[in-house]
Amino acid sequence: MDDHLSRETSPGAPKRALGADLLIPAVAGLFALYFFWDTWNLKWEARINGILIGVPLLGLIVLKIASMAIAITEGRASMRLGSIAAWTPDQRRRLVLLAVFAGFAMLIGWLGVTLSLFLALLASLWILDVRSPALLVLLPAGTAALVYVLFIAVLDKRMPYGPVENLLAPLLVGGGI
Amino acid sequence: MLSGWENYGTLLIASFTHLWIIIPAVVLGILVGAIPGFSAQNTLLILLPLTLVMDIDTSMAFMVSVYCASHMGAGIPAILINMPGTGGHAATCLDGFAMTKQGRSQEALAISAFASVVGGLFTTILAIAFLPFLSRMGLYLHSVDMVVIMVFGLCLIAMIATDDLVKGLIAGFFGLLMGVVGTDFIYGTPRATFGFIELYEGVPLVPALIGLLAISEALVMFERESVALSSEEARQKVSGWTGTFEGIHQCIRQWWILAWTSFIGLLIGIVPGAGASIASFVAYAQARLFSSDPQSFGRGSPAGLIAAESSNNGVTSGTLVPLLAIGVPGGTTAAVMAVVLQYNGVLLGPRLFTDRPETAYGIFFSMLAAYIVMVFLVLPLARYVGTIVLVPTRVLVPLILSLTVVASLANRGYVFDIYVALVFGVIGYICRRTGYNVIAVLIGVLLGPLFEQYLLRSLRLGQGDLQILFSSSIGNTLWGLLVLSLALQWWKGRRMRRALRNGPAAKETINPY
Repeated sequence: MDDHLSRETSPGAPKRALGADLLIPAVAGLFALYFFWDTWNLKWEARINGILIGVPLLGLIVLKIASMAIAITEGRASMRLGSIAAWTPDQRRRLVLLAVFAGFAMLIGWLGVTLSLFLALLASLWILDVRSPALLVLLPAGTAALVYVLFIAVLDKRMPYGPVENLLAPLLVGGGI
Repeated sequence: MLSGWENYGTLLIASFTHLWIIIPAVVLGILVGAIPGFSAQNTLLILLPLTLVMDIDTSMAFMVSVYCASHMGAGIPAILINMPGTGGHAATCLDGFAMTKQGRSQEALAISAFASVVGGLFTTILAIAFLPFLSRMGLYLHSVDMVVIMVFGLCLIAMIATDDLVKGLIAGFFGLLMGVVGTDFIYGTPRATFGFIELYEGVPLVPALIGLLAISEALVMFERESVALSSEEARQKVSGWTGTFEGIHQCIRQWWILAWTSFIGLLIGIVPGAGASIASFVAYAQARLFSSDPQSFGRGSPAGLIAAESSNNGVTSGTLVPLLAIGVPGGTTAAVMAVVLQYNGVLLGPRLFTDRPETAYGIFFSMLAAYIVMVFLVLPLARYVGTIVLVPTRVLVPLILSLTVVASLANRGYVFDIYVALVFGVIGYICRRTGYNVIAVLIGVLLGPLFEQYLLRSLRLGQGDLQILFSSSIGNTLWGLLVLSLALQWWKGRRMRRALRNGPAAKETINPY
């Protein structure tokens, strides 16, 4: 865990930036409330588990907010988000990588697993500053081929088909090697 | 019943006649264990037609070898890239990956292999010796006790893995609540599915595991040049056999941790449904409790890694005990084995030991043989597998992301699962950056469905009265221990924070995970 990031301090601002510490409690709290709302009219057997977990969870979140409020009022901490929200080159790369793999999920239905994996891997290598042409071609091609052989040809897993899979389909007798 | 050393000796020799099937099964098991989403039970299900045509002793030798080897294999990616092959290896990440970051991957892999094999061998021998007695243990635990065990296990994880108790508990309960998503067990009504039909069966575990551990780690990893903090130092450490010998030496030196924690694994494995996820954390907590240097846990402590790995493999023997003795499979892999045994006309339960002792005990002797094979197959590989940490992260991260998103898709074949993996990846990333323990979230998600089953069973017995949760003496003892542990942890945390405020040197005492 990057402990230094959650309790970061800089010479100019000695207070701990605690704003980011509220992100998970916020998500967890909203999810618990959604759970209660969604199960409100159900029989007790369907609701009880959510209540027995959700209520202590909300209690813990209140406890966390209270301890943060004390730290802020005592001047030991601030509500800044810290480096998690900083717009750095690494942050940009991180977001683009996530976008690439979200794109992979969107395109896999049309392109098939082999081609979309090739493109996603190629793009992510490029994003991380790999510029060697050999590596840029061979690694995605080799990985996509390995995935095709292992998951489709050998194990006959239910994977989305695209141009590559359709082209190679006649080679597979009975759905798998 | 089987009695006499001659009979045990005959069965041991007979198990070695199955080496022709045990060796490929061990290789296969290590491979499938190392790939997330390729659990032993899925592999055994795929190969079911093959096992059904074999004779019963050969098929059981094959299945237990795949099962035991997959338990060991799942530790390899946990150590090298912080991506456990199964939820049961989440505890391995705590110290295993920390060792890798210090350039000690070869040593960590050797510890994992040696502790797994010795832990597995030790518990298999114990299981053979005390099989009829151990088999009764699961009968003493009721659903109420199981609820407390799970809450206890989850709180234990929250306490171990973070320096802020409240943050650890929030992470654990958040995971547990996500684990409850999906249709309820009695009426089949969907709950908190956001309208997605793909979530009716609950949060898919493999994408959740991949997202929380592998994707979130990859999103942090590329900020460094290599996995190890100093690639030059790491290069020196993986270039010889020193790390392997050091790993073995550490295991021998800390033999009592190995023996004790593998025994914990055996006992927890016997309880149906408990499994490696709980066992490894309980064992880890025990090792930390009795350690003379508890602060080193989570920062690359060999003792922590030994505890996690030996208990994991202790579970393998334990899981088979209730299956053979009372006919209740201790886990999903054991359930697949039950199908094969019943297909071959083997009657599971107490009569198995009188009617077919050679089959009952033969399974454990095959396990013994598989573990012996693993020593010679896996230990020499530690040096070469450990070199993965030398691959630059700008190459490793895209590979991890690509292979893991495909693994998340492979399990159920739903494209939706890729999105689940990415969402959990973002949650895991935020957790890592803000000090909420991802492993606590993961264990919560894993335990969620099981927790609900036992809780509902208890509450229906008590006709909806919550007091049923405090009606068992074993459960009440555990509740008491839980409150005591939480209070102790809170007090320790308070003392630590006070020390932190008083001097920067005290900052060293914080668990970095």
